[in-house]
Amino acid sequence: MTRDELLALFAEKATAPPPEANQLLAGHLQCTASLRLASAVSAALNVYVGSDPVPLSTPSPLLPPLM
Amino acid sequence: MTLAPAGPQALSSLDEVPAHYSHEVNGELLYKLCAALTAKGLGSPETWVKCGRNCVAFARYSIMSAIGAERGELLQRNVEWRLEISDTLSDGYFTGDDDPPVGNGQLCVTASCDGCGYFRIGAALDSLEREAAGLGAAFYWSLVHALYRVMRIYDHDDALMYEEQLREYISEDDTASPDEYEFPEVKKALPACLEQTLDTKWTVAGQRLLASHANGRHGSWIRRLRTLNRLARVQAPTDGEVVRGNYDGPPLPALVLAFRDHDAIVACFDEESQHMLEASSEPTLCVVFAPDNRAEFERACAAAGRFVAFNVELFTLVEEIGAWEASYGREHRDRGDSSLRTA
Repeated sequence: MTRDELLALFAEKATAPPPEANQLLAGHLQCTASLRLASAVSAALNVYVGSDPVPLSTPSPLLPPLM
Repeated sequence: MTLAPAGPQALSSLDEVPAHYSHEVNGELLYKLCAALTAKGLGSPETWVKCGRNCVAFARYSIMSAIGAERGELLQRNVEWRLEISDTLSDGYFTGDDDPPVGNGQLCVTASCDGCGYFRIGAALDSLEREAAGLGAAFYWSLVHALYRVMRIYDHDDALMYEEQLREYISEDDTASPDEYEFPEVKKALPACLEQTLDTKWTVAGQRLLASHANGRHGSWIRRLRTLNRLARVQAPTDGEVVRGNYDGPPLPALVLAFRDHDAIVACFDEESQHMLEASSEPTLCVVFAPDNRAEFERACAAAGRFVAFNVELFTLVEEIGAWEASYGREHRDRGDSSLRTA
């Protein structure tokens, strides 16, 4: 690999679209329902970890991701 | 025995559900920085392969190569600098999502001090004064003058200020008696040559005296001091004003300039330094640049290069004087010094 090829590689990477993981996360952060669900799960976890000794029952079919 | 028939799967498989997301913001700036480092000749295709085609490792290796292993080790032995290139203005202690971004398409190179160096200069000043009256004082004031242009230090001036504050605080407290307190008495810790020149400090005559002894017994120290003065005057504009509002206070001192071990300056620093990490401090060096802007990148390289060169020269001088003191300086120590009597 030459210096010019390395420069071209960096230029290509700098202009490439964001990776799929970035797009997924951006989609999640823009979806109100997804954010509400995340907040509800987080609150439920806090209750479970905090004072309630009864574990939450696991729903039979896991909810699919909203994205 | 009858085996129960296989039932439906109770839980759906999690294999296909993404469990980890890696979120990357401003990733293109890293590639632009790598391109700029390559264009400047600091990174190469060999470096790229050696770093496993990892951009962060490539940038780090290229910058460390520019500093050099020997110079890097010298700095590591004497001081703890944290050199960062970031797209946010974090201070290392309160880093989080709320860090203000540097600017659109811009990065910031910063140097912050995590552990300051120590320069014990008393015996060297005494030796310079023995060589010529006024030479030690000229050396000290010239050194302080150069240091202040590049970094924050803790010297006799800070200690004097701390002592004054302490005395004021006690005098304002009606319930306290000054006799119950022990004050550092910084002026008594100053060598006589500095006490006599506290008002004049840096003078042209002092510079001439230094120049006339540049080939004398301590010529090596004086030549290093002149290099420090030259580097301190190099035009290397920084952006401290731009980021000042993001921090609680000025940069942390990068060097304690004392005369003897355990003297009043060290005692004052020990007291004051206990509170220095309670708030965020401005970086000592701060240059904002766009990695794809050649002129801005060169400006950042020049400022960082000057900063590293200055530190290398400074700590080479510190080690040189330390080595001289270990072999020759101790025989000339003033045995009447109170810090030695208690040792």
